Amino acid sequence: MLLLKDGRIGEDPWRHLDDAEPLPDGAPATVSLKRWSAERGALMRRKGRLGLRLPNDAAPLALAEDIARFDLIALSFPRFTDGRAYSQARLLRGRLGFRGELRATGNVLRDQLMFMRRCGIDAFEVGDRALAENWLAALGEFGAFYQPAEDGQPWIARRRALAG
Amino acid sequence: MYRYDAFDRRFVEERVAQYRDQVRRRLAGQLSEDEFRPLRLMNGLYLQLHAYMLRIAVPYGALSPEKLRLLAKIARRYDRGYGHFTTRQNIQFNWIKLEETPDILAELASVEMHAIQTSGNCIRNVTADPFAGVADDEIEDPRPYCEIIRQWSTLHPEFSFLPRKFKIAVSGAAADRAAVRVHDIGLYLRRNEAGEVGFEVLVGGGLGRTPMIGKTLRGFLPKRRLLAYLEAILRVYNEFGRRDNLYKSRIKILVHALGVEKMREAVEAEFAAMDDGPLALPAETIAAIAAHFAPPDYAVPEPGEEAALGRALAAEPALARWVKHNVAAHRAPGHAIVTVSLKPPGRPPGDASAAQMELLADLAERYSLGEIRVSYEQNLVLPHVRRRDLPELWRRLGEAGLATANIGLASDIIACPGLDYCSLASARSIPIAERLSEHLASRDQEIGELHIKISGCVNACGHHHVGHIGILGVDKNGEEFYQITIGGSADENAALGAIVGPAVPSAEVTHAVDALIEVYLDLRRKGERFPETYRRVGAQPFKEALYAPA
Amino acid sequence: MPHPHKPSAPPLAANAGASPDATRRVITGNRLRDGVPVYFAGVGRWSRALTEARHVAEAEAEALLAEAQAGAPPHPVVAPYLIEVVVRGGRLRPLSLREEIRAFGPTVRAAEP
Repeated sequence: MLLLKDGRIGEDPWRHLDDAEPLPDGAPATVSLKRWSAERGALMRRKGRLGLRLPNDAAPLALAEDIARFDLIALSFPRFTDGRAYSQARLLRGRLGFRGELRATGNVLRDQLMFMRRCGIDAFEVGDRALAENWLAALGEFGAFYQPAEDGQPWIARRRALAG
Repeated sequence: MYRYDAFDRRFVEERVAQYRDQVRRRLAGQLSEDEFRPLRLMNGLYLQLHAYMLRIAVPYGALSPEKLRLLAKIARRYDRGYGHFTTRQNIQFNWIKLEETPDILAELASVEMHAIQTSGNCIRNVTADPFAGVADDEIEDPRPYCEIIRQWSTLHPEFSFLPRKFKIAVSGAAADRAAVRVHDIGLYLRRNEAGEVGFEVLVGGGLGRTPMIGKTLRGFLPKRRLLAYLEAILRVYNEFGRRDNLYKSRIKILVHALGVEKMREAVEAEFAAMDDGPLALPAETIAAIAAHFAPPDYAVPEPGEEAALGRALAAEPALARWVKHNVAAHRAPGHAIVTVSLKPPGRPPGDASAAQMELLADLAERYSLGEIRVSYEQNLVLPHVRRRDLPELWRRLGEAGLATANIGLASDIIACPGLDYCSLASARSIPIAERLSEHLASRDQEIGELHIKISGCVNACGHHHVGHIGILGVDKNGEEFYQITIGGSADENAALGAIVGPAVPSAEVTHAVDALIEVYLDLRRKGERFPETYRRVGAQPFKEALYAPA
Repeated sequence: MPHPHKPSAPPLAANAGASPDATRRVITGNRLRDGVPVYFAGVGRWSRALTEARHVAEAEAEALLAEAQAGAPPHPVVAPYLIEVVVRGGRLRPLSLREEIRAFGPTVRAAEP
């Protein structure tokens, strides 16, 4: 799977393990939520970067205690019209202060990138057809937004107040 | 009214550019219809029976002469010379070409208009009392809060792919002229015991396949916390609203399934965990928006004006009738609120031609301090008319077929576009409305206040569930049949109508409505409106009249 | 637009041979660029006039639909689908009121511009 991250499209350096697959030595790997719950102790102790694949009907706040262990949380958009992961992203990034990579996987389309990024997602699974320039252009279509989100940008009401 | 600043102007321009590129990609085959559909819906564009339909946002119903003239121009240039005002205070054009929509949106942007989020599974147009700011029963003007909510909800990144559409209405008066109780979120401005004004927040109202009256989530919410609370509700809905079944995906279903207690717990928990800072609405922020809606400097009535008007009314019974039904009391002395009827008997309800729009723009300028509004009942409101101008205004409206004296009466019918236009419809609604309005117009005075509402399918865009008499078109083996309900109400005593019996064929609708009206006239006490009579006598007398053997 | 009760469409020529009052199938959809209802008239051809539509027996309907849907994106018509028609007096008529309205326009008169 190709990834759009930091303004570039490249290969995904992470391995996404089935529940029975052994963990690779030191290589960055993601596990399912189910596996995390079952093998939490061992996974906590493992050296190397660890990621979590979060189903879009899972409660993100339940990860509060463990969140610092993850270098990557992969969120799921099973259909691009299923917007649950936008709320998950905001809660992970904002409420829980997650600092690692927050990745959109599944039915990820160019015209939703801006919404995803504003919710705190910083990496996007892209299909083969994607053209980097066109996808990056999606992120720059608006100069200012009306509401606070998780992108650290002052929203319009704040900009108005600052403008005096 | 609200005027864009540089941020707002830039935003709508960026939106037009974004949409223009999306249309280009669609026409070039780079976007499939599946991928494009939500994008065009979030710019108000439906694909209907005959063409594309564009639903243009009229935020809380507010129009100006400039805006109305531009709508007339769009009607002439891009459509067939007329537009339709909707039950959410918006305007629709039925004959639109996809390839011309970027240019249409660009023209709209030039007068501070757009079609953002008038469809799609996102937060829709925030609607309000069309008498906002001028009604004599108002606690506080709801429009600043509508504008604040509108901005907050525009391209909200978290809530653009909700389980389903989301509709919010706000009322600031004792009487509810915004159907607040049948919205996903309803807001009433209320005064608490300490005399402070805040919001009663209702959730889970709605019409459609499974109509429900909203339930109070919070009796009093301070203004400062309005957006945070709304965000908490939307977040709970986004997470837990059903996505497996199109017909069970509105928030009303979630509230019904959880019960209002559990819903409140979930919302309050999220609300409590939110950081108050970013979404807080300090008094200065509210005041800055409210300044756009400050009351105008009303002219002081001169001595003798009222007496002159009295003489004019006495001399012309038709004028007197129009003033009686179409003119409401205004908080400023010597002024009136005029409702312009878009319900001429025998014609499609809620439509206006380009010529009529242009005339209304002139009249709004001349007689209403440059303001005109859309009501959810598909009429227009001139909110700042001097009483001494009523006779002249009436004459000018009459010349354009806009002076029907029927507001709130039997021939003031609400109807959706129905099967004549809409791809969702099961049956036609406009011909039923035309037939009924023509038939009942001569009896308007005798019958008095009566709200007849017609929907062409279960989606209930004609609000039939909350009509005194509601009519729902259904398809029975390819024939148009009509289910009749009675006793509904959209105001502060909102109620859902009850089905009176089996659906009747199209040709029998007029007779059925006549029979129901006869029962009402027979049984009503002096001054009793239809819902009150119905509540007192029950459905039985009506059922008997409708279905007893001839 | 002419309404079904006052037909003025020319009689069919190319599709003669259909037995009167037998139900036939036609493909329709809305044109992508302007939303206008159109009918599949043969490979690469879509017409606004129902009279020019290719009509087939039920057994051939799926094949006709596949023919109508073929082609690289952008397909000129959104979501083509099958409708039932009858041949009556040499003319094609939709069976459903909805398709009648699509073919001939709203049954109500709009405001004058």
